[in-house]
Amino acid sequence: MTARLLTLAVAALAVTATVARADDATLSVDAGAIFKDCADCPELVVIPPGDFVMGYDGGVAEDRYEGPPHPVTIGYAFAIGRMEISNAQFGAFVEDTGYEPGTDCRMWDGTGVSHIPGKDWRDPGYGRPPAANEPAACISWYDAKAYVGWLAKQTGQPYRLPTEAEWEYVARGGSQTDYAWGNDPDAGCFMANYYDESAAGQRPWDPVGCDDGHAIVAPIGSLQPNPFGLYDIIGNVWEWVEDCYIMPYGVQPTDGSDHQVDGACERRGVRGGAWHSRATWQRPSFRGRDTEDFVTQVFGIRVARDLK
Amino acid sequence: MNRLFSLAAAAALTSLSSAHAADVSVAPGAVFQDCTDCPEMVVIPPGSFIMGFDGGLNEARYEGPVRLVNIEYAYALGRTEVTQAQFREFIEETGHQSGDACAIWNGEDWYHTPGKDWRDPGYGRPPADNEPVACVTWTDAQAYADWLAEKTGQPYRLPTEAEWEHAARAGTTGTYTWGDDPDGGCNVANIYDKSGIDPKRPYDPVGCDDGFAIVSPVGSLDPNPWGLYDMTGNVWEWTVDCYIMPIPLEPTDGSPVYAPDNCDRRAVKGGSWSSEVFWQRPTFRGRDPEDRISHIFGMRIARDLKAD
Repeated sequence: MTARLLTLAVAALAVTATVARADDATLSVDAGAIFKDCADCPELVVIPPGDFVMGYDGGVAEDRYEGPPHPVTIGYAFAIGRMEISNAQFGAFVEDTGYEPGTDCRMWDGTGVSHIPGKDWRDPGYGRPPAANEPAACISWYDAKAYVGWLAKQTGQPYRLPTEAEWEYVARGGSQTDYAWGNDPDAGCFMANYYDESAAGQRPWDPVGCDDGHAIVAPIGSLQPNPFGLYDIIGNVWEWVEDCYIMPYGVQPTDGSDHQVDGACERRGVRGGAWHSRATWQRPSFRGRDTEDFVTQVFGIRVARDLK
Repeated sequence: MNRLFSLAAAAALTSLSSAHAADVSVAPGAVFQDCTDCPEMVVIPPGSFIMGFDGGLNEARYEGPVRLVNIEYAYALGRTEVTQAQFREFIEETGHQSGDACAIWNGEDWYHTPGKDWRDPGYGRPPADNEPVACVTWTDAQAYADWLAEKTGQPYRLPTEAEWEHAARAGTTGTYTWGDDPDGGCNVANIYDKSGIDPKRPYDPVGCDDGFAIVSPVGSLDPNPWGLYDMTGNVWEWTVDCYIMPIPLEPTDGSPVYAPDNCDRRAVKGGSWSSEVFWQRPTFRGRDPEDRISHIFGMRIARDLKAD
């Protein structure tokens, strides 16, 4: 009986979802248009189709090779978050669903990194509460997936994580240089909150030779947007992608879609560097890769959405 | 060398700014902007509603006969009234000669005051960037819509009177958009209320307090059920319709009742921060010459979701 009731309830939900979608209207816009599916939904930017060369013939170590470089053609327009997902936006999801995000967030303890009991997205270890307009951090890949799943259900629209190719395409913003802003590692402070002069002294690696004005995480959209109109695509927090990580490139599709494996995926791609990351890790070709349950102070979310 | 650089720069720009058109599926309530500084637009659902009111101030201002209007298409309407900053961009880019000698209440009468125009609508201080533009004639409003359409390549225009009333009602059927109590609107409408009582005005304020003595920044109060701000109050909003009374029974499909190029008076809707509450009803029909300029007249923009 319970099972039957449950089935009926699920069927009713499905009908509701169908009805909502039937209300959809078709809006014609040009690439660069900004939209959101509800007043409190994340702002999205419409990204045009295009070609680029993905990857870099090098890396910080042999096991972090970023190549071989290969042409990718994204034959479709899509939408991606104008900003990283904020604490306010992630908080609405947690409040609505009772979802329990990952805990024991990994962070710098003064000499190294370790998982600290009690630290999670509500207290990502800034020595103060995180602000509503700062990017959600201490987010695992599971948490990121749960968030986009919830957003898709809330809006009836096809939200998802970006693919690794989509992410690199939008981060490059038309550039094919080492960094999103050119070849000089010290020249990105106008658009990227990374490990800079204002952050110096917190980590045992060298800061870049410019000042982005933020010692730790920055409120989303504090710096200049990239040529596609996206904020913080480099720096601030790392952003999870849909792809299962495999190195070197070769098996991945070259049409913008994601790489997946049969069975369990050992590690997912995570991109873009963070406020404490050294410069080489901020290159648009750099490939972070971590386990799906990995929770760290510098990992967050940017969402993507199919246009229809 | 310079030439080579220009070519490269032009190529890079073209690849990103090329107006690649995309169709986005959205539900009513979605919010979008065609460019970073463009007005925010809300997707308005199709629907039927009872337009008009079988009564009015007097015979000359009869608001009927009432009729069922069925708007079968979704369209977009400005989330807020057009702001000072948005209107200024239009004037600066086009050199448009806007109306002057704006009519301002001087405590006894509406006086066309030399030197007063949208830049100085007579608040006794400069208008703020985020306040609605005021001292806008119908001709100015139409010119703004044409400019925005040209600039974005999208079908911007003034709303029809039926579209305006459909969106102002947002599914409600009361005397006012907030219900039947004239004193119940201060949470959604900046009207003539307890704040800003002017004993010289020949009518009474409503018995609530909206917190604004004169005009308010757009979006200061609560939105209506469809996510639109200041539909009632703040400034009157021009529509494309030519005013005729009584309203012909056709058309009832959302198109303008009558909108020739030359028209004695255009319909203007929604009341303002200084208007008597009876004039704040969604059915009330202001009607003024195209060159009428008043410091309580502004504009809200509409857009078709797709070009014809």
